Amino acid sequence: MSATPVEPLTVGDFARTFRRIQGEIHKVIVGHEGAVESLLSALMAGGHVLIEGVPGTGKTTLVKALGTALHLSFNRIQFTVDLMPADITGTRIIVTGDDGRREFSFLPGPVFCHILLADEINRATPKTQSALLEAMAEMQVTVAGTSHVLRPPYFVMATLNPIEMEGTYPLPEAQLDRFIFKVKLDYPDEAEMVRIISSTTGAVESMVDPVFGANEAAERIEGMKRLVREVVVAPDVERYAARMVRATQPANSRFVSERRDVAVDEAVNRYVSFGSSPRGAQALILGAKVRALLDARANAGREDIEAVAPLALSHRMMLNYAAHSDGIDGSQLVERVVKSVRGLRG
Amino acid sequence: MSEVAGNQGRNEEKLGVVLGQIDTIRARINRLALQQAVFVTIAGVVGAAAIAVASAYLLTPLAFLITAAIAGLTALIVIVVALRSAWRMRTNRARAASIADERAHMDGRLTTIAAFATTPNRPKLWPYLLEDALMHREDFAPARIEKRRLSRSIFALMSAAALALFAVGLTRVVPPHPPTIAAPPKTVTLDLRDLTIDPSGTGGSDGSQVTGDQNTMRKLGAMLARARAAAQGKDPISQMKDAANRLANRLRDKITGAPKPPPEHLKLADKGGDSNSAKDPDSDQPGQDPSAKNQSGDDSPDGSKPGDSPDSNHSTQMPGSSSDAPANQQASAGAAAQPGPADQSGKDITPSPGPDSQESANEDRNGDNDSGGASHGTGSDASGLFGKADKPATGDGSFQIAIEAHPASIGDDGGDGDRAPKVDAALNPDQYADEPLSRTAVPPADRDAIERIFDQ
Repeated sequence: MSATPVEPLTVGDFARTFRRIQGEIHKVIVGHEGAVESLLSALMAGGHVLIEGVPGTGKTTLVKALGTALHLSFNRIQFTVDLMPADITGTRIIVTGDDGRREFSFLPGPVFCHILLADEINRATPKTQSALLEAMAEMQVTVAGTSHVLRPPYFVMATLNPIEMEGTYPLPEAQLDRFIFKVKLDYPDEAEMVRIISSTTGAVESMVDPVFGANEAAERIEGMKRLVREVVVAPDVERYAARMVRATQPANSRFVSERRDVAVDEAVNRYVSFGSSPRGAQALILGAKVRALLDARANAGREDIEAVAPLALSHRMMLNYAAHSDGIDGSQLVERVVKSVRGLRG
Repeated sequence: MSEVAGNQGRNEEKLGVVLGQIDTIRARINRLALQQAVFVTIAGVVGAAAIAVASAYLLTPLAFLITAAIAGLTALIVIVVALRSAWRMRTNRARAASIADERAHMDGRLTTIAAFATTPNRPKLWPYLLEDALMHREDFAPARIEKRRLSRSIFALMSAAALALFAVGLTRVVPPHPPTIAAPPKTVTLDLRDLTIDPSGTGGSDGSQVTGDQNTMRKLGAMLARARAAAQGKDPISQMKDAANRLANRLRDKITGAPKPPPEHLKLADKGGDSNSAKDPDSDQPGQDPSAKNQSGDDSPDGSKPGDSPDSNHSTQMPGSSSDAPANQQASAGAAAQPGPADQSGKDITPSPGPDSQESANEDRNGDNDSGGASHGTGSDASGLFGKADKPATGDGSFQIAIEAHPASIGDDGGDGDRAPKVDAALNPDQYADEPLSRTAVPPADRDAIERIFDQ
C-alpha cells in the first residue's frame, strides 16, 4: 500500500479535519467529549495514551471507532498474567520455503499495526509490559537481534482497570512516562446513558465513516502531526512549561540539584515522591500546540499549557503513601501546581 | 523570486503594524508609571508639609513634633513604595506584549510575535501568525489595553493639594501662637528667692539682661551652678523630653513665623539676703565666697534700707542713692567672658509662680513696702519718696552674664513655655501690670501732700 501525496495542511484544515474525526467517533461514543479530544490530541502530538476507566465505559468501542474513522489498521491485545512478550511483539517460526528448505521467519505480533489497544495492561507481568516500551518509544521491535520497524502513524492506547487490583502489576514509572496523556473515562451521566441505550439497542446501529481514504490516511495523519510541530512557541511559554514541570518535583527530592525560582506547593512536598521528568515538559508543549491549532492559532500560549497540564503531568507524579491515605490523586496536585506557577507569572 | 520578496515585504509591514501598537501600549504604561512616581512623590512631600504646618498651628509643641514626625515618616514610606511600584510597572516590549495578550485575550499571539520579531529565522507559520494577529488588531488597540492617560495617583496629588490649601488657610486664620494677654514687660524686678532656675532652658541668645548687685549676682551664679548640676543628674527620659520640647518649640516658631519676644531686663534683688532664707541657694553651699556671705549677712531680713548700707550697691536702691551706685552690676546675654558659672549656664531663670512671688507682686502694687514702685521688695521710707527720674538700668559699672532670662517655664505638662505664669493672668480694671512704675519727677507743690499720705 503506497501513500498518496497530499496537499500540505493549513492551520484551518487541521482544525476542520480534527473536528470531523471527532464527529465520526461521537457517532458511536456518547459523551466523553473531553476524553475523545484528548485521545485525538495525543495522536496528533505523536504520543500514546493511557486510559483509566471502569469496565463498560466504551474503551474498546472508542478504539474501534478511532481506527475506523482514521481508516487505519488496529489491533487489540487483552493483557493477562500469562501473556508473554513474544505474544505481542511476534516470534520467529520455522517455515518451509519453496525450495523445501526450512528457515526461520519472523511472524509479526499484534503490535504491528497503526492503532493498538493494550487492554488492561496492568494485568500482564512487567516483562511483557516492558515489551511494549521499545515499540512505543522507538517505533520498532527487536526480535532475535533483528529490528523490525513499525509503520507510522503508530498509536498505542493502553487501558487500566482501577478496580479488581488483585493480581495486577502496576506499570513501572519508566513505562508510565512513555504515555503522553492519561485520560480518565468515567461512567456516563443519566442523559448520556439514555442516548447510549437508544443508539445501541435499536434496529439501526450507528456506523463510523472513514474520514480519509485508505491510501491517504497515514500520510494525512502524518501531515497533521508535522503541522503540530510547526506551531510557534515563544521562549517565554517554554519557560513556563519548564517551570510547571519543576514545580511538580518535591523540594526534598535528591534528584533536584537547584531549587532556585521553583514554585513548590506544600502539598507537592508532602505527597509526591518523584515529580515529572522532562518528558512531561515535552508533553505539555506538544499538547499545547495541538490545542493552539484547534483554536486556529499558529502559536501556543500559557493558557494552552495550563489546559494540558492535568493530562500531561498527573500520571508522571509518583505519589507517596500519605497521598493514598489522604485520598489525594495526581490531578488534584497538578491543579495546585498550576495555581502556584501562575502566581509566579510576570 | 520577486513574489517571495513581496511576501516578505508585506510580512514586515504587518509586523511593523503589530509592533507599533505594542510599542504604543508600552509607552502608555511607562508614562503612567512615571506619572505615578512623580505624583505620589509630590503628594507625599506636600501632604507631609501641610500636616506639619497645620499641626504647628493647632497642636501643642510636643503633639506637633510627634505629628510632624509621623507625617514625615509616612510620606517617606509612601514615596518609597510608590517609586518601587512605578519601577516595577515600567515595561519593555515583551512585557507590553504580554500585558496586551492578557487584557485582549490574545492567547499569547503578541508575546510570540514580539519574541520572534528580531530573530532572523522566522517560523514556518510566521505569516499566518502575523495575519492572525492583525485580524485582532482592534482587540489590542492601545486605547483598549490601557485606557488611562492619567495615573490614578493624581487623586493623591489632589488630596495633598487640598491639604496644603487647608494649611495655607490656617496660616491666615489662626495666629501663630495662642493669644497672649499682653506682651511681657520689658523690665521685671524680681527677688532672687522668687527665681526658679529651669535646667531645661535653651540658653538661647534672646538678648535678655539680668542686673543686680554684686552679692545678688554671686548668689545667682551659685544658683545657676546648682541648677546645672541638678540638670546633669536628671534622668535621661526627662532630658529627652526637655530636648524634644525645645526642638518642638523652635520648629513650631520657625514654621508659624512667630515673633520672638523682645529682650527683657530682669532686675534681681536679694530681698531675703540672709543665708537662713529657705530659697537662698547659697545658704548651705560649701566653698562660697566669704565676702559674699558677710555681705549677705549684713542685710537685714526685712529688707535693708539704702541708707543703712550705702555701699551695698543693691539694684533696688532708692532714687536718691541710685545714681550713687557705681557697683550696680548688670548681666547681659552674650557676655561670655564674664566670670562665674552664670556666663555659660544656658539655663532659664524664671520668676517662681510660688506664693512668695505673688506676695511680692501684691506688695509692689499696694506700695506697702516700697518707695513708689521703682524697686520692689526692698523697703523704703518717706524720705526716699522723691528723687530723680529713672534712667535706663544699665550702668557703666555693671557686668553682664549670659543666661536665659526669658520669663518662661516649661511645665511638666508640656505646656506653652513661652509665657510666664504671672503674665498669663488677666488683670481686672482695678489692677495694674506687675511692673514697677517708672519714677518720675514730682512737682515740689505736690510733695507735701504725697508725704502726708504716705505717712498715714
